[in-house]
Amino acid sequence: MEALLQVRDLHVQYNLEKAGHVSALRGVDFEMTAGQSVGVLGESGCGKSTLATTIPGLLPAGASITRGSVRLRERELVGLEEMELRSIRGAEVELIHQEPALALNPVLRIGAQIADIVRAHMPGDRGSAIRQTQEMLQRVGLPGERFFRAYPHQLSGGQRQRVVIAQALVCRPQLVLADEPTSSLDSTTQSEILSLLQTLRQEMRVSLLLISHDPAVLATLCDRVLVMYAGKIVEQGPLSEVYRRPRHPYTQALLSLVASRQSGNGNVRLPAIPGHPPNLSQLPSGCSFEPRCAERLGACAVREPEEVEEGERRVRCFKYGG
Amino acid sequence: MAADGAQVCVGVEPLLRVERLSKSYVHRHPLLLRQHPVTALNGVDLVVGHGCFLALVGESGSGKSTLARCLACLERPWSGSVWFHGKDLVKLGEAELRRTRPKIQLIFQDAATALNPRFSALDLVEEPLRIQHYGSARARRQKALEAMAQVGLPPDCAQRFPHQFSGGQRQRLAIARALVQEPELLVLDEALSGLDLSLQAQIMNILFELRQQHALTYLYISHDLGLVRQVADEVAVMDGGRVVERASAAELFRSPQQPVTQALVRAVPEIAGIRPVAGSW
Amino acid sequence: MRYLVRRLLHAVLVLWGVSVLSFLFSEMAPGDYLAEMRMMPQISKETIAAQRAQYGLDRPLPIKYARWLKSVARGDLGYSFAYNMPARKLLGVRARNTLMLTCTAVLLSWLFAIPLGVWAAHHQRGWAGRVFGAGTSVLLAIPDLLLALVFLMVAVRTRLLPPGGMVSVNFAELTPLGKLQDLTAHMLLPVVVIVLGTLPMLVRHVRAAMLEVLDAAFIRAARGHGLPERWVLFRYALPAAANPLISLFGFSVATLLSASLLVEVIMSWPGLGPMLLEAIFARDLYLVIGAVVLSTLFLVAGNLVADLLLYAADPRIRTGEP
Repeated sequence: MEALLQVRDLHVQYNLEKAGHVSALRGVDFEMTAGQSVGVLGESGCGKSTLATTIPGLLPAGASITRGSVRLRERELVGLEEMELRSIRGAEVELIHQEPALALNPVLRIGAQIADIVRAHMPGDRGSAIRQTQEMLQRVGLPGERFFRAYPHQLSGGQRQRVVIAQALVCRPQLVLADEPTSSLDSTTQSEILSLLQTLRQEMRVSLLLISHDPAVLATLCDRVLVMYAGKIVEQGPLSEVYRRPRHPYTQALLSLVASRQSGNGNVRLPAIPGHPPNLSQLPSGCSFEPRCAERLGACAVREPEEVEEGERRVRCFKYGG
Repeated sequence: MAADGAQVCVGVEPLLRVERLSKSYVHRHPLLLRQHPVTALNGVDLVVGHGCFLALVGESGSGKSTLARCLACLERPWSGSVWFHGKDLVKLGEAELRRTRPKIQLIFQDAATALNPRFSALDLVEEPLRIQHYGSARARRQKALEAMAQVGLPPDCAQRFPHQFSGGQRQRLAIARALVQEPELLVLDEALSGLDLSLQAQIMNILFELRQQHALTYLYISHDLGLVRQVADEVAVMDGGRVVERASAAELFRSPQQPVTQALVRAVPEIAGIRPVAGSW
Repeated sequence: MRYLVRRLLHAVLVLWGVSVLSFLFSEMAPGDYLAEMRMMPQISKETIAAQRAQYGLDRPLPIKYARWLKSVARGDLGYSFAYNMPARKLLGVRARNTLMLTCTAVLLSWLFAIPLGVWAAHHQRGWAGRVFGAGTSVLLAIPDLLLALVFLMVAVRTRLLPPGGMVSVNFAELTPLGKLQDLTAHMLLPVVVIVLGTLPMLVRHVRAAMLEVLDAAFIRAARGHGLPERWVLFRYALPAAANPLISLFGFSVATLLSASLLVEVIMSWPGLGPMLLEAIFARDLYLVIGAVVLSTLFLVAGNLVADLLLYAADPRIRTGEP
């Protein structure tokens, strides 16, 4: 199957005025085929949100791609002019932000905010844009005139997230990047939104890159998973295999946490990964996970491990070579 | 322990007793005459035992946050009583309330918005002591540094400002600030929601330790049943402004009675086939 | 509706209060209309006393105020001693002249301020932003007085534009088109001076409001959907930034009668300003009171207009955000 998205050796830096540079992405390599659903798992600061904003060229001022390539169906996105990127955004690549309440304009009706996207990218007049908007709203479970004319503050958190999903899918893009789409919602709404995403993804045959710090969220939707730590992908492969037999110590630790949570083993002390993610402006030499790793080897503190491939799985750890 | 958490809470003298607490918000339309009352609390009955880790769960709009604010005396309910040390908090005068407030502390979800960005970390933790005219400046500083150490914030970050801390560290700061006032009951309103899983576990461990050391009682409000199942002794479920079910954590997850509880339990995403790894975590 | 009634009552209260205070202050100021006459030894005391009785200046304050109120109820605004005619007609003409200047100036200022402010916010970084900042600072620092004098001097020297006044001597004999041309020629300089005085502040406010909004997540989201930049600025950012600007507009309306005082005096424009000044010096009691109350009326109306506009423009206020 042909590759939809190819990211090679992606390096992204943030320029902080007084504090110098911070490397948010330090060599990210992965591929997605059409119709796949890939999850990105990692804690805050690992670079997953940066990855999501880099692909459609939405990095904030002060951040830049210093190396690497991002190809969408053989088309190189790095280095494209803003005008060209604008035609790709919305029509081919879409991004769902973390906080739905903030992603919507408070003084415009939601119907207008969706119809605008249609008018910007699809041929046709205002009437056809409205029709497509109404159809999309129906699909996400917000039917009728009442929702079309509603303002964002009149909707609940879950409903606002549905609007954002409608915005993302209305032009039928090939790739949707969803950055923690459910972390601000309560658990019943969260499961509703996730199942909505699943349904729409299958119906509209959209490829999905889902980002979350919660492995359970990814398990409901994704075929493959990329585990990120300190700006690099430390493990990737088919989700069910990676979850059942995690290789990288970080993945093992993270999943172990979730497993103990599920078994409800309320000890007086919870298992946790000791320490915290490294400060990206002061990275240690060697493997970035080494200070917290329970299975350190001699080489770990000296150099960074290379990626080792085995079938569909890749790991960055000296335990497996590298 | 959560497994036999019922034993911790049953037969224990109640620290706090809430009786038929009710509160509505009246929303007045700015130009027209319309008013619609929104009922937040509809006769809440709740007992919190000494030393208990009670979780309060429910969907958005069930009234959890309103209850938290009423218990911390930040808002006054319309009717009902909150019995604490033999006194009804609802009926206390301002002076007495000021004396009681330090004993019930509230920690919010987003510490960043609760912390004054112009104060250094040490100032923030000292502030409540200053307001209560506690001891000398040196004694206050000492107590503040102690509290910070207990939550895992080393003294060298005392002069840093909130925006220079990570989200997890800010949350610890909020806990230190509450700790300094020697509370008996700590109400945590979604205080760990949205944090990384490992961070949640670390801060929860700190809370466990503090509970042992200072004989604290916790009222933990959350919509994240996954975490609740792991840490709570007992769970109370709120719906439509009332408590509709209450059981030990294990019991609630084994056989939820009410439909709303069943829906909440069902909504917890589970991953099949993963096992905890015995390690030196 | 209840709110509106409350505001109207409040407005009436303010007007009443201002009129009372004005009377009080003029009473406290030494002398009255006949003060100059008293200093001339040729005029006998009896004549002065008779004049006082005729003008009603010998009555105590409450009586004077009551008589004035009664005449206001009739539609009169008292009597001008200096001009020897009812105050209302005088005030009406002068107010109209002032409004001609200020309405034009306010309209032009806002028409220029909005696109300039939006443009400045959009190009905030880079040399354009710095030039803009310097330009507005300079304009703000120049006193209106200086601007007026400079322009007046230019007019006199170049003879391109009439040096003051409202109409030419032969105005009555001109054709309608000629009259319009003549009026415009006379209006040009005063309007330009007023606009130059108010424009920098307005542009800065527009720019500041826009900058605050452009940082918001929903603007990034709008760009993320690939919407054209023009739409993002004018359809998404500007309406959301409108609240402080609407209040500012209300302030513009409120000062419609008072903003041009200085310019009118210097450029001999026969507006409310110069007349008020003369009336104060001459102790022309009812003229002063009338002018002050009229200005207050505009002030109150301006605030009311701002509130109504805010209600119309912000859906959150309109639908009563809980």
